[in-house]
Amino acid sequence: MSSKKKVITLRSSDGEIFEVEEAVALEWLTIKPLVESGCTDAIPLPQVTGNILAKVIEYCKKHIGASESEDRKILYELESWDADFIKVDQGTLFDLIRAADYLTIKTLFEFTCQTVADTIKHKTIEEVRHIFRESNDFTPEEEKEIRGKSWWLQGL
Amino acid sequence: MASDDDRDRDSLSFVDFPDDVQLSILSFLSPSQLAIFCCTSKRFYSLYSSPDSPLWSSLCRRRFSPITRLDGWGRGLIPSKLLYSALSDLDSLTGFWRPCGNGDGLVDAHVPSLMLVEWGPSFLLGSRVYPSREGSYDVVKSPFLWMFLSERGRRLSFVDTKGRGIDPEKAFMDLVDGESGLVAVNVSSLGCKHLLVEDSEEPTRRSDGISSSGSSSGGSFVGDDGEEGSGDDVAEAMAGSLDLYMKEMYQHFANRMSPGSRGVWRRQRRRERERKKKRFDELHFVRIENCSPVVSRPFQGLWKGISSNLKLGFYLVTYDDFGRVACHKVGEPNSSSPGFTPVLWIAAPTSQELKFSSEEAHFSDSWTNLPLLMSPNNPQNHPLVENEVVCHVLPVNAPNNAVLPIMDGPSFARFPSSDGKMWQHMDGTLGFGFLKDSLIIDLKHVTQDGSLLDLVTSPGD
Repeated sequence: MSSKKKVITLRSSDGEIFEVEEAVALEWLTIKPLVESGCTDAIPLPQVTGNILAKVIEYCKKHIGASESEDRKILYELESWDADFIKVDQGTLFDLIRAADYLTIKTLFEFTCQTVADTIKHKTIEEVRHIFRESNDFTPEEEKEIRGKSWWLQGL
Repeated sequence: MASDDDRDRDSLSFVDFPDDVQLSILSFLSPSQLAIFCCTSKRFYSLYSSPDSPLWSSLCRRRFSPITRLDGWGRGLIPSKLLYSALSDLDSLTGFWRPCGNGDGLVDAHVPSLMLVEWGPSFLLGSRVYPSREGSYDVVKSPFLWMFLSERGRRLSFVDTKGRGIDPEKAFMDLVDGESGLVAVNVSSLGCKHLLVEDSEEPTRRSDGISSSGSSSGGSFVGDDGEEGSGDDVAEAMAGSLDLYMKEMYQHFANRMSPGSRGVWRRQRRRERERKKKRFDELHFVRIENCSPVVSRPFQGLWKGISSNLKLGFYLVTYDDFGRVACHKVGEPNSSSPGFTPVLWIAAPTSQELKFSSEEAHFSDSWTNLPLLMSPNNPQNHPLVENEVVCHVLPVNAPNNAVLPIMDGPSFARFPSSDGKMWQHMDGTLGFGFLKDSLIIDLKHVTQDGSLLDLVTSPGD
């Protein structure tokens, strides 16, 4: 037990086993108490699938220590790494948000939320509805009234 | 692509997220994007329209909790939608402003000064920034303008005319009690470039503190009274004018009681106005934009430098659309608006000039030593450039190009058309000098990473 880096074992919903350094797992507030209590069994994560857990671990490994860096070069590199990391389909992005929320990983949660918000920038109402597969529950009269109230919404 | 679609169909949609996750995502949207988003469904529209919905508190937290203490504004009683819009308006005032027009008597008329508007825990704070003492880069920051919000989200602004440096929370209470040197003011902005601080004409006491009533800022000034606002604001403004109306009606009847006293009343009114005028002269400010250098504009920004009379001055280096660079002195007392004369300008620096040929490198070596040669009246404590590595040298011109170089020598003959030089050090700071008066001015940044440099607590420290 004299190893410098203690390793925590995690089990995804589909039974895949992952090993992460203790320092990484301590950033996940949901499992932090378990890690601190010295749990040696594999921690089950029934709400996260293996492929998403792999992404989450990849992100956290990259970010540990680097986010607090003062070095502009490191921060710049991290930013471009993030941009590549998040080039995923919407389903994966939503799964990442759910995983970050479930595991309480603040940095990943805010980053993924920001990314979703960015996808609806410069979109029309119809486009936003399509992206989020929301149904239009306004009657045509109501919708007309709402659009009429706000001049900037006209024609969108 | 088909597989992607299948995957999307199986996975979550936005409305399947828990409420707090949805709000967290929406909190990253700008108000206009949010307006569009919230027209997509009834539920979001009602969140958006409600004055105190969790949507607006989430937006407030995201944008303002890193810079101010949200529950400190209006004692935490302002509905979050109103709070968001009031704080957004205040946010547009932050940054550096230069005074224009006549001196206002609040500081020594011979001292250059800037106004810095920044966030406090529960107020927006305007401070004068001015040089500490001769021959030093030190500056003093002295707060003089506080902007609070009432419980109904109206802006309450005060100027400290005595410069006593009062605890703002306490000062606010002092004013309510009516025993302090604080004056209630209106802070109005014209566009986002001009700011007018004027005595609020009719300070009236109301349950939620003190605010001005009746619109005193006419024309296209939009300010404390003229903001577009919610129904609450309108009701409040109406209550204000009603107060005024009642007062006038009362005075009308009072005057009827004593015939011929109308003239007396008018004189009284005039005297009252004059007294108020003496209390506080209006202040005009013009926004200083682009206060920091960017990669494409390395010289841009707000700088400070010591001139021949050992006095510290503020300089603003700007780029125009053609890449020409001008350097202006800002914050000088008695500077008239809006024009301020350039100290120097640089014709569009080409990339060739920005590169450093070996010949220029040699020239810069001799140039870096020039302060010693050129400036016999250089103060002892004036940090010279001898230890700095120069990475760029540019020929510059004084606004009046008639001044000819007076110094002989092969180095200077190569730049016959320029009056002087500007150089950039490796650490990003600038220096410039003119041959006509053998004076070198080293420019240092006024701020770095959002905080003032060389800040001392009181003048003469």
